Amino acid sequence: MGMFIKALNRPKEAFTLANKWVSIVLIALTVLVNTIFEPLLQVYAGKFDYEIDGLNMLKLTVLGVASYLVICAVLWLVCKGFGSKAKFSDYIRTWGMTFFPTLLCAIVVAVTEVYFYVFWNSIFWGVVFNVMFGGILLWKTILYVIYLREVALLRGGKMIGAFIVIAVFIIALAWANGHLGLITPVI
Amino acid sequence: MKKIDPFEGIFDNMQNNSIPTDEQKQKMRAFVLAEGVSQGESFMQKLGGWITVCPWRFAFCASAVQAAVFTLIFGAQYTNLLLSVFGG
Repeated sequence: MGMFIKALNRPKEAFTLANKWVSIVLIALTVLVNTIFEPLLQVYAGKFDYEIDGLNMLKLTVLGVASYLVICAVLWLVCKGFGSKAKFSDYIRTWGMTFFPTLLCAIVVAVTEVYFYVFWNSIFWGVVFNVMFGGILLWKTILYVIYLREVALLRGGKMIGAFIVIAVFIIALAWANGHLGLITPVI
Repeated sequence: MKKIDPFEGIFDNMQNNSIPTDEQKQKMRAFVLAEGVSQGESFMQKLGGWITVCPWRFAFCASAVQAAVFTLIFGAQYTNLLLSVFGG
């Protein structure tokens, strides 16, 4: 539990300690929210015609894990190109620690998708959603920068270069994820 | 005849076990370096440090400001735009 709090509040140190279980649990939860929580919420919200598709859940789970491996490979290759000496296994072990905002995003997206009508045209719920969503995006971006500095050990211009190149891949991967059915990209 | 103290071996073992291994020492060193507060930081460094510790704190504060400002300007339209892009 202490490691989770550390990853939440002091990501810089958590990246140095590189506890793989924090990553594994956070990734698993993010994938589960995508595959199981969202359909359950649909049924709970009263959409009884909504069919739970076990095969699709399995497909999304495999895709989620694959997506994680792909983003780690992208991070590894691009950072290597910019002169980082970190190994592929370092990325696999630590990138999952940046998944707190991703997990929260998965929950928020599932809720807004199912209860869309509550948020639409509502100033109050709109602002709540806004704050959550903007915060999540900023949070992940901050973690991304800390990650490039602490794990890939890139500084200055190299860090900015890697940031931009990987950001392009992240946008492409997010699009691909959404296209394949993962509403919240596992990246 | 020398009396053998059965506890001596146990205490020796305990002492040896409590000495950190090289790997643990490396980790401690990295931790101390990360924790170490340097003297005379500039404002930007202090701000960077503040953002790095509890990044969600800065993220949600900044997001609250943008949400308030843009909602005041554009009203529910701004929310609807975000919803249509991100909300599924």
